[in-house]
Amino acid sequence: MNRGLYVAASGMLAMQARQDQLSNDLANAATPGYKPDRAAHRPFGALLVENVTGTQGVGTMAAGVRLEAQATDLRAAPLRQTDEPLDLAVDGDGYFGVQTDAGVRYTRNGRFAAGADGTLVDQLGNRVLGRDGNPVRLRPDGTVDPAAVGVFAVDGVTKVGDSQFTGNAAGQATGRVRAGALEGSAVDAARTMVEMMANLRAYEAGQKALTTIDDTLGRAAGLGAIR
Amino acid sequence: MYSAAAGMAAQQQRLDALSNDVANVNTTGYKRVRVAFRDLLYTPERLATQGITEGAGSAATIVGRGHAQGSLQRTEEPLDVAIHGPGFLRMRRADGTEILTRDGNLRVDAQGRLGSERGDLVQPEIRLPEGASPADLKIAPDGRVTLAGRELGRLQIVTVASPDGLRALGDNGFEATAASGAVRAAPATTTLEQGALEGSNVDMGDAMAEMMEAQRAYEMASRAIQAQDRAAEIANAIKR
Repeated sequence: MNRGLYVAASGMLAMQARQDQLSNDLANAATPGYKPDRAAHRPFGALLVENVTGTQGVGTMAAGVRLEAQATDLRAAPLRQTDEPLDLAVDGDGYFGVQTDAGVRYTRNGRFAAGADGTLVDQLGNRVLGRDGNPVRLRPDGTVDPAAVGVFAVDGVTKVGDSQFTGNAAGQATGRVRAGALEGSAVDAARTMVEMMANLRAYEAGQKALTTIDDTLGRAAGLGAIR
Repeated sequence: MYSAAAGMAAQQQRLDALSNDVANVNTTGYKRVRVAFRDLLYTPERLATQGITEGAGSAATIVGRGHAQGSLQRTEEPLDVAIHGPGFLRMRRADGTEILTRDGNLRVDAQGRLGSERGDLVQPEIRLPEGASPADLKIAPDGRVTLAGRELGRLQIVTVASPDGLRALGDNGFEATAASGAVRAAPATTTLEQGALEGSNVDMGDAMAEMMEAQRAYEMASRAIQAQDRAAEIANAIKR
């Protein structure tokens, strides 16, 4: 009987974790180049339930759920025209490379600016890498040659925040750089809102299951009460 | 819940920047504000399920100004100059500060010196001979100022490596800083046009569309907070 309590509670914890991810997606619904997270619920290992008076098995029962896998949906989002010469977007596959203190990071957020030394920098001041791996120099008129900006293929892409990804460099990618455009956020607002509502209702259902089991246990305990 | 709140704060910053843009839609030489967004740190989920991370929302940074050319407005005033391409006019304030400006709405002061409406003087100084009418001034695309064929001086067009690093002093004036790099001559492709002014580069339609997007994003983040609040309420109701 007690087992049911933990099954319901584990479900609620999984929903809570998913709810946090969905909130983060919604907070980034307008972040250029943002890629949303997807999660998969998996049951814990199933238990073989046995008849307590004998050794006869009565079947299996799941011991709860948890968020098993998280994957970032790396599909490209539509590009948006901004007409700013330093807004760049990768049209197709690949990532911009930026040189950070922690090493090379990759990004699809191309809202870049000019650094004091005449190189292209990202919004945090990190230098953007060119095709040859060196910083990209701006033209004298303050614009940038899209062909000079590197687009890198990356394996094992992981989000690390600040619009950056880590991963293993795998050479040049096929994507082309377009100036004057930004890639939108890949968050589908309607889908995320619906998932959030469904998730909240499932959370509520978990709570109802929990309180129902608690009620039942209370009644069982009440059987032995001496009046 | 806090990640959604961070998202709301970021959108609020963007709305503030957009309001500023819209308010300056008629300001000569105004450049729209560029706001950049990024997602924040990802931390392992606290229930320690392997490989599940939680993001901390989003943040906004102002990366500088948009440098798209503002629309040119023909005024036919001899003392109006518009700058085509990147670059600034060099002027000096009354207190001696050197400033850069794109506002080409020039004036001739009581001493015959060429300067701005606010009394900033063109650097190096250009002085009209006594009795000369400003209406006879000719300003060439390269900045040379002539009066009836006689050269009086040259309007210097300058730029910096990173115009976003300039410090805004108000009244359309900017000052070079370490972040902007030193003042140098603008590329030869930058030219002046007499008898026109550069309008603001804020596009009302774009600004309105962006404002709606910001408002929607703000609303969605607030819905996420409501959902988190409701979840907390449900959790609290377990113990009756």
